[in-house]
Amino acid sequence: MPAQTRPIEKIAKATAQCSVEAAAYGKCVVADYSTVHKDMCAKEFLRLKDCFLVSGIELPFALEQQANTLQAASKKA
Amino acid sequence: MIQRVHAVAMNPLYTVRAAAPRRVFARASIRTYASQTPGNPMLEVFNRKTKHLQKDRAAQNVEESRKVDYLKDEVAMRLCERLLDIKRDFPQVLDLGANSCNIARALTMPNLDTAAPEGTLTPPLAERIQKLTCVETSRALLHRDEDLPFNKEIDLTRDTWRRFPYAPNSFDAVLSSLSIHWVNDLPALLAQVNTILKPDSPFIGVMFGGDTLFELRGSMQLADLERRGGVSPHVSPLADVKDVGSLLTRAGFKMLTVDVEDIVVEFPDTFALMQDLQAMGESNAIMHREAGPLSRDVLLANEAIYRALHMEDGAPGIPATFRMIYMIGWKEGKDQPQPLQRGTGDINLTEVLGGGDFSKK
Repeated sequence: MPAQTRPIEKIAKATAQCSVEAAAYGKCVVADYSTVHKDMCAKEFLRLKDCFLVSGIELPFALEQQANTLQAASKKA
Repeated sequence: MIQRVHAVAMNPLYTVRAAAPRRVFARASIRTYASQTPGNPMLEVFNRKTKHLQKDRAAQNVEESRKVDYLKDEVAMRLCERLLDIKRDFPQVLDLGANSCNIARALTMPNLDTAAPEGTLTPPLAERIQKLTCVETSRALLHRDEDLPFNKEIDLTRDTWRRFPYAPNSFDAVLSSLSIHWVNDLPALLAQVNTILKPDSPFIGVMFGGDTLFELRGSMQLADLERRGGVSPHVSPLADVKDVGSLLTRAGFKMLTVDVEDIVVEFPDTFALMQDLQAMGESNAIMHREAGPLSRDVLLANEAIYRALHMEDGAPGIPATFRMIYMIGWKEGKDQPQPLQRGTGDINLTEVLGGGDFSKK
């Protein structure tokens, strides 16, 4: 069986391209980590995810769909 | 008895009359006793079946599984070093939870002689062992390295672990490396180990404990909280160092030694860390863990938070701490050296070791 790339490896590769956004999100959470609540850093996370989804690396199918809807939404806005 | 208590709880007026219908009821239905193992009621923490599957699946990918044996091999070596201190032969040795027989491999390696000039090797420990029995729950993992050369250098029996089939007083040493942290009923297991040991024989074990993977545990919680508003256990709980001493005492071991060692491994990212854990068969196996894979959002958030919290400046990767708890306990035996009563020492340790007086320095 030829070595196939697992989804997690693709995610790792895509994430590696968004280190700036990841750092911003990480900083936001860590800045106040004793009182973290849901969507505390939603803005930073969306920016990270946006970068992750358009990073151009072939993603698993479900994620690709997500990327398309996200891009459509951002065009509308 | 239970019947009446129930009646009381339902309606206090029935308590007087409860005796007569109760007998009728007892005759009409067949009841059997619920059986429970003696001792304390056991709390199931880990799902044994899940763990078994994880180990089996991990071992089926032989190449990947061997690649991630770095930690288990290293710890097995360090464990076997402790055997060097005991100047004895061990005719019968049991390796409890053998994984891929990492201990057997370590035993066949030559050792550095610390007393002789540098570079002198002493013969491998395997020469002092007549027969090694390796038991492990996962058959695939146990038989993974059957064809490797080290198998010929030691008399090795592989045994799939269903229950304890060993007679009392049958082993001269029981070793265990990175396995018993998945056991639900550790007190019972240690008590059984104590039983199968011959008098005045050691149990030498090591398991993951306490702060192992604290980085991942923490960042996962933060990622879960921020993304989903709640926390689910993604890293299994582990025993703490301070519990191990009392566990061994409870099982009847004497002359205990417990010590802790940290190994910090650097990974390129959290995904690599999680992949390696999976390939080791060490993924989370807690009883009520969430079904299905981790949400991608949480994975993504976790990666960012882990880096923000734990990455050192300029480091290429992220650190992951593994804390090993080593334990040595001896089964009680005749003529075993006993600790003296407190206060009976008549040699001042400062005279032997020197120093000790901080005010003079």
